[in-house]
Amino acid sequence: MRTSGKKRSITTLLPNIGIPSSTFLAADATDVYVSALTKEQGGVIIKVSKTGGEPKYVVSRILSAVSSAAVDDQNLYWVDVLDNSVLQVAKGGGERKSLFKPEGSSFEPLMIATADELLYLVTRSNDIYEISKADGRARLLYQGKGVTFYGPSLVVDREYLYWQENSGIMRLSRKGTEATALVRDASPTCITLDDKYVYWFEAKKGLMRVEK
Amino acid sequence: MKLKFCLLLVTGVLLTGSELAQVRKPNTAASVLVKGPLGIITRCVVNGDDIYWLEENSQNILYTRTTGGYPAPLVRTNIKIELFILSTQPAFIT
Repeated sequence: MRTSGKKRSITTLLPNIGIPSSTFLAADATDVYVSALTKEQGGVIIKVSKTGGEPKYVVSRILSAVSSAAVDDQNLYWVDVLDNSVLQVAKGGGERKSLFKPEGSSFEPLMIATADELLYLVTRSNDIYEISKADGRARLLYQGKGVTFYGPSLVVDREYLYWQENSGIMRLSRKGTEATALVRDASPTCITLDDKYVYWFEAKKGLMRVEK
Repeated sequence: MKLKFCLLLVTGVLLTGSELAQVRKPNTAASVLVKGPLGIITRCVVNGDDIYWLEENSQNILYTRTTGGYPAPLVRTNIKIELFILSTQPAFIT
């Protein structure tokens, strides 16, 4: 569905698409991408113009349990928690490709964020990886030291990654230097950014912000 | 000669001081934009000068200015909203 800004009217872009995924919704300049379970094609990723029109299957007959998705100029990326991997497919359609799937039963990917030629991935144990979109080569940027209670928020700007861990908001240079606690004594449930501030929600305190 | 040296020294100190004063340290104190309790908000995003979030009941998307203020509804529904994204305008939901 689409809302027309603050006029609050809602337009249905994709009626009767089966069961839409609750975790895969992405957009670029012209199109919106969703995943769904359909009768005809099984698991699919569907693309529809922001202005409406005929939807197209980007990929079909896939079995994925998606926990997070991202889009860039060329590809769609998503985390499959059934396969414990990061997958990609060209926005125009084609074969899906496994971009990152390390060996090891303890690896449980959860959320991705895209920035330039890289993906950033946070796992259930709060490990953070940097993954090359070109060849899937990855490096561990940060080894998790705690848990998150509401599912991790991983956000990225030009210089830093931000995420929640234990009772605080952590920050790490994208170059991979040592992580520091930007905010202590906080219980964020969602984190977001603009150029100047980090914003977060806490169940009891409300909406907070701090300068980067 | 001594007077010139003293003047140069004082000017140098003043210039250095003013340059240092311009290197502002970020204010690391958190400020409250919307006072809680707001419940558990797990979907939020900044877009332009506003910040948007999905209410805990998953039926309404609210927004406020990034400088704070009383939240206003972007959409109120009687369905469960799973996700939303903002792509300049409009918003998209599933």
